[in-house]
Amino acid sequence: MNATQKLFRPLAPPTRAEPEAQARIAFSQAPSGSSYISGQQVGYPFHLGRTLKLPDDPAGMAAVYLQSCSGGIFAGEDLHVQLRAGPGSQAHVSTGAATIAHSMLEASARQTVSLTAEAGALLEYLPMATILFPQAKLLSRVNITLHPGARVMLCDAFCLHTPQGNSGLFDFYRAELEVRSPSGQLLAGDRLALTGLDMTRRSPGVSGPFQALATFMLIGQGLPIEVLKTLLRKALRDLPDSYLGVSALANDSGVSVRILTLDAVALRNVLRIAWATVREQLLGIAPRVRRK
Amino acid sequence: MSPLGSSLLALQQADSFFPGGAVAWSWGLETLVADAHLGTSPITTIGRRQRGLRHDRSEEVRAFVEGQLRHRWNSFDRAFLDAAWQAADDLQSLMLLDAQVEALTLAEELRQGSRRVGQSLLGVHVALGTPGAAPYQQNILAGTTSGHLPVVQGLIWQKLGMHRDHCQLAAAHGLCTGLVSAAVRLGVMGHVDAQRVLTDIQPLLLELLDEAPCAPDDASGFTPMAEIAVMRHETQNLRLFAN
Repeated sequence: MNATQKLFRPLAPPTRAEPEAQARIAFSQAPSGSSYISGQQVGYPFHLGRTLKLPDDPAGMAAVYLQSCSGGIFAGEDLHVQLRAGPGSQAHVSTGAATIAHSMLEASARQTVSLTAEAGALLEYLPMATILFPQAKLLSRVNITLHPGARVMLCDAFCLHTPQGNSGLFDFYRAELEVRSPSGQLLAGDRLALTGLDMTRRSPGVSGPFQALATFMLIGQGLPIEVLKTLLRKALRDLPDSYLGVSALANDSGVSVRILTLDAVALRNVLRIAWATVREQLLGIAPRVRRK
Repeated sequence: MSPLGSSLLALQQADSFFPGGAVAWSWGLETLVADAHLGTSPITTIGRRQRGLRHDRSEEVRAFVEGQLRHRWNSFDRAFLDAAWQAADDLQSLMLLDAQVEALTLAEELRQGSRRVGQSLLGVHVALGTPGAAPYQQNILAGTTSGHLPVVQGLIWQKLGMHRDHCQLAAAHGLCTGLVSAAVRLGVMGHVDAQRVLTDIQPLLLELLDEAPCAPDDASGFTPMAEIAVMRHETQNLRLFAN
């Protein structure tokens, strides 16, 4: 029998009230149909790049990179990002690199991302993976408010890394995702909680031989779920070093893809294909691969 | 109810002879076997066991059962079972718990499995005339709630008079028995190995039950590989189980 393990609970008891956001970005649709940043308040540790119009993106889509200039997430930090896509707007938000959750000896850290997609909006929030360093203790929350006719595409991914000269694994990682209607009704969600020890067991049914995990979702009501499931299963079939499944979310909220891979390279490849497949189904054209 | 009376009820409810409908579900095990992620080790022989070679199929099944017990039942289902037991007289709270289980279960066939086993258990108790069973079934039939297994277990077993800890013991043991039973029917291992797995898992089960269950707002899970298997089960060609 394996060593005993206490039931996981965050070291820093979460308060349900959201912290003050270090980054607030609002997208709106101009009369021309193009989307633009209509409001931004971005402070340390974040930096917002200029709005990009990228080839093979929809003509009106605003694409931005939200970067951290601090080098990752550190002990005791309580980070909050708020993104709002106004009615009819189309926005793609990503990060330029993976986010490192550094070793945390004194305290845990928390990161909250609040996404609001108003009527008819398309909001893509596709950050690169979080890399959990030894002794990292991270609570990650993604709260989505979905208005009628809105679509949200998102991924939440993590992998492990032990830098040369270090040893051990992360202490704990808890990832909470909730999709709610504007009235506050819980439509769908996902809550993961694990410790580094859990990954070392390599248990069948838990993580097995895999070292990286991602959840990709297209969230929206009234979507052609069966078509999307079939397309995703076909596009993601037989990819190397991965084990993945496609399913409908609860309450007609969209589709999800759960992905396990042997490493971060395979994870990135699967996520790129899932994104391209869904984008093509939604908008008729697959996005061009980003150079990151 | 006396402790002995509650224990007797727990034995009855956790017995695989009780027609709760759980035998049709493998909770991802069938697809993990089909995808060669479980059950690929050599079959245990007396000779291997005598030589002390323990890495066999029963070891894999034990690890699978441990993962489901530790990372799904204890951290998620148990929270809702216990909350439902405490809210057995409060219909609105029960329906809220049901809605949370529905929304927070990622894989479609896991949601279906939890609903169908819960409704099946409820149906038996309606037939038996268990207090509280028929009114809750009416709400399910009216489409106002889902009838997920842990919520139904908490409601019905509290109404029967089972003690709180006996409910959790019955649910956990029932899960373990169902999983090893599925492994036997899939040909992964034999009946003796199945009993060995159940015996080996008991210290962990008791250790988990020794701690208080978490609240539904803190409930979580970590069984991504089993969830993926359940998702893949939807399109699997040959299927013995419903998930």
